[in-house]
This record gives sequence, structure tokens and C-alpha cells, in this order.
Amino acid sequence: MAKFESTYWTTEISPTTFAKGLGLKELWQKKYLIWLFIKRDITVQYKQTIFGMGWYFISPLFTMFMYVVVFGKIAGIETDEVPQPVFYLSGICIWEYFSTCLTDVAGTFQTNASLFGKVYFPRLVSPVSKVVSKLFRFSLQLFTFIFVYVLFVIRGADLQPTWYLLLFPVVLLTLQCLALGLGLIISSLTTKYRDLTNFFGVFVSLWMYATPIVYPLSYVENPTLHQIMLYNPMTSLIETFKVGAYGAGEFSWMWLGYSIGVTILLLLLGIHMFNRKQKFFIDTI
Amino acid sequence: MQNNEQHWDMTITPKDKLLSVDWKEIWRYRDMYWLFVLRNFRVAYKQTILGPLWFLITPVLSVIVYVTVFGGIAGMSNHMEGVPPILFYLLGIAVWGYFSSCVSATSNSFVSNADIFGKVYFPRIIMPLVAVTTNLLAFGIQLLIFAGFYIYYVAIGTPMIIHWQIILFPFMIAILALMAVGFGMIFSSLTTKYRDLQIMLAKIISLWVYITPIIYPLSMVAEGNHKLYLLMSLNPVTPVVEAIKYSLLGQGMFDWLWLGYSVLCTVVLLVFGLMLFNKVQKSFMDTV
Repeated sequence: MAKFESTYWTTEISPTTFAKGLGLKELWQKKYLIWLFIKRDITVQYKQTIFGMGWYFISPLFTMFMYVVVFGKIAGIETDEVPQPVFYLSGICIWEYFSTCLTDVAGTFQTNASLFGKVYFPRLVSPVSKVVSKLFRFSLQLFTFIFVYVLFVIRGADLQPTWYLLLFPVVLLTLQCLALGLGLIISSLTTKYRDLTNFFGVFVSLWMYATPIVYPLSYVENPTLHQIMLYNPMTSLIETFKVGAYGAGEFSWMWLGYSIGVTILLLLLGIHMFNRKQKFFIDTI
Repeated sequence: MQNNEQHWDMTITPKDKLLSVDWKEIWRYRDMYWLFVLRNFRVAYKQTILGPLWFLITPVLSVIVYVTVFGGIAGMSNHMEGVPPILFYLLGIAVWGYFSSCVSATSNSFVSNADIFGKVYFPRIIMPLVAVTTNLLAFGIQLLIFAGFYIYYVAIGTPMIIHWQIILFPFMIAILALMAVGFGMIFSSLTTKYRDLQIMLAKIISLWVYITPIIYPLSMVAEGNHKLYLLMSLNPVTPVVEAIKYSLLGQGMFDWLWLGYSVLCTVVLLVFGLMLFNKVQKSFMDTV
């Protein structure tokens, strides 16, 4: 019996709790693993595909074209005197990055079930690497945006970045943390309640319409609705980016601070729920 | 020597002719079809917080957002010829939701069933049929919501028009389902090899809704943008959606010739889809 106690383990796996710093230290120790996952994810994004990386350059253009026709032409929405393609493309790029991060993080347990069942590593590695690796795709789409932007400037459109563009890293980081936090909460809930996955897709697409992507915030004239939209943490992030990129939009430090605050809360809650769930999920999934 | 007389319960032969559909075989496997359908129905209830209530919550939420954003902010309610926006969007969301979920479920036939397909044989074509049937559940619930609001509007005295073409409703839904299966099968055969096609299909579906009169009436386009009007008229889903709207809401267009075009597209898609599907089912296990 005594023999058991003296057994030597290379690693000891214990449940992570709030008291132990949410397991963030362990996550940092495993940064090489995050890096490995990122490299794998990026490769997957263009291997065994027909169009390879080209698709990521082109796909926002399709969406942009459709929005210009439907919301710009048919519905006749005015875009704050910004050329419609530039206006829609800025929103599309940011939103696509956010929504793909969110969807991928939310599917963490489902897509990695077979891996999680076999080996141990801090489970947070996988959602964190997802958010980072999607930056690859985001930068390609951002390139398309800059290309169109420059094209319009050459053709004489009055577009000028403002100093608020310096806030872009802050916006991006908040966006990532928001997607991570919310995604972790949803992934923790979906291990037990599968149905949430199906309806999650609908929610994300509805959320987009509730964020000023297909219309500028200034177009919402109803004061109550305007106020409600500001409570959406994505609104001020998008607006900050737009103000920075071409000076049209509504920027306020207060609402940016609000978004950051909500993000921190959701992130902490998400990591906490995720850590609790990772102990049992393999039994329920 | 004995080997030659070996007895097999069944022999599985590849469908060599590209277009052969073994109807008899599908009929023999009908119990399997029902089992899958029942399984899917049950999955919708089990392991859920709110159970089938989700089927209620999502369309209601969608309608709220559509009415506020498209109807209100984008101002499309003004072009609905007196149809209450709630009814307009409820019907659109239900019909489009059915079509798009059938397409995506069919297109995932191979990828999401790789486990079962790898182990047992049954006619693979059953899977798309199962998908089309299962999605009827959500569609039915959404139609009930629509009926509820419809009755409410009639009760408060809104003038509503129903046309006799309503008896063709099941036929319309059948066209939509078959079109979805044809289109989905084409993609399901291609996605086994190229994974980006799945992402691409999701994109196509999400943009397709904009050239179908779901979030705005077709008549709104007819007034100005001719290129878009042409594109929308060529979209084979449009005539069916318009016909459904015409018969239930009195807003839209009912044109036999135009519907014939939809049916023709459906047949072409189905034939083409079946050819690809038959071709891929022999070898997909190696590439998926």
C-alpha cells in the first residue's frame, strides 16, 4: 500500500479553480502547444481546398456586393457620405473575424472531443489558439479592405483616417476577448445541452443585424432603439474602428469603456465556466 | 471449390449507370429511414434545456430583428402592399429556413455520416431524404406560429386575401425540398474532397437569401433595379416563394410558366446531383 504513495508522476493533473489563477499560469507554460495548434489551424485553412488563400481575399467582396445592392440600392440606406463599398467592407471584415472566432470557440468541446478524451493539456489552449490563428484570415480580408479603400481614394473619394485608428489594437484585443469569453460560455453550455449549437448559428446572424454593419448607427433615428443598440458591446467597437478608418461614426470613450468592461466580465465568467466544465465534459458530450 | 458456392445475404454492387436509382432497394430500407427520422426527432427533445421550445424562440427572435431592422430601420415595411410585416417575415423566415436547412443538411450527408457510412451499407440516398423529413418538424412549428399571428390579424380586422392556389402549398414545399436535395447533393459530393466548399456553401446560402424575396418584396425591386430584378427572377427559389406568398398573403406573383422554370431547374439539379452522388458514394470513404 505504501508503494502507491511514493509513485512518481511526471505531471499531476488537478482541477483548476478561481483561487489558482484560473489556470492561466499553466496556459502560459504550454505556449509552445498554442503555437503548434496555431500552425496547424492556419495550414488547415488553405490545404485540401480549391481556391486556397484566394477565397479569403474574394469572399468579403461578394458579401459587400450583395449589401451594396440590397441595403445600399434597394433599401436606400445612406452611409454617412462614405462610399458604400468601403463602408460595408469595413463592417464585414470586423464582423466576419468576430463571428468565426465566436463560432470556433463555441465548438471547442465538440470538435476536439476525440483529442480531449485521449490526452491531457490545459483545454484553454485550443480556444486561445483558434482566436489567434483566425488572425491570418482576418489580415487577408483586411488587405482586401485596404485595397478597396485605396482604390476609392485614388478615384477621388474624400476618405481620411483619423487618430482614433491608433485604438485599433485595443479594439482588436477587446474583440478577441469578447469572442473568447462568450464562446467559452457557450461551449460550456453546449456540452450538456446540444440544442444550443443549432440555434447558436441563428443568434450570431441576428446579432449582426443588431450591430451597425449593414447600416450606420446614425441611420437609427429612433432614440430608444439607438440607445438599445449601444448596449450591444459590439456596437462601440465597430464604431471606433469606423471612426478611425474614415472618420464617420460615433465614437465615445464611455461606450468603448463599457464594451471593454462587459468583455472583461464575460471573459472571466467564460474561463471560470470552461474550467469547471472541462472536468466532466467527456462524460456528457 | 467451396468458395464458389458461398452464399451471401446480399451483394452490394456499385451503381454503374450514373443515373440509376434503385427504388426497390430504398423501399426495402424504409424502416431504416424511419429510424433515422425518429432518432433526429428525439434528439431535438433530449439533452436540451428548453426542449422543442427552441423551435419557437428562434423564429420569434428572428422576426423581431427582421421587423425592426429590415422593416423599420431599412424602411421595407412601406412596400408590402398592406401585408403586416410580422406575417411577411414569419412566412419568409419559415420557407427560407426550411430550404436552407435542407441544403446544408444534405450537403453534409457524407461528412457528418462518415462514421456510419464507413461501417454499414445502406443506400446512401436515404440520408438526404431523412434530412428533408426531419426539417419538416421545425418548419411545421414555424407555420403554426404563422397561423397564430394570421388568426390574430384577421381577428383585429386586418383585411387578408387568400387565393385558391393555397391547395398547391404541399406541392410548392415538395419543389423546395427536392431543389434543396439536388443542390445539396452536388455539394455533398464535392465537399468530401475539397473542404473549403463547405465554407463556400455557407457563404452562398447566406447571400442567396438576399436575391430571394424574403426580406423585401419582389415588387420593390421591380420598380427600379433591372439587373437585380433579372437576377432574382432567374433564381429558381423566387417563383416558389412568390407563389406561396401570393396564395397565403395575397402579395406576390403566381405564374405557371415561371413555376415551370423552377420545376425544370429542380429536375436538372436533381439529375446532376444524383450523378455526382452515385459517383462519389463508391469512393468517398478514402478521401473524407
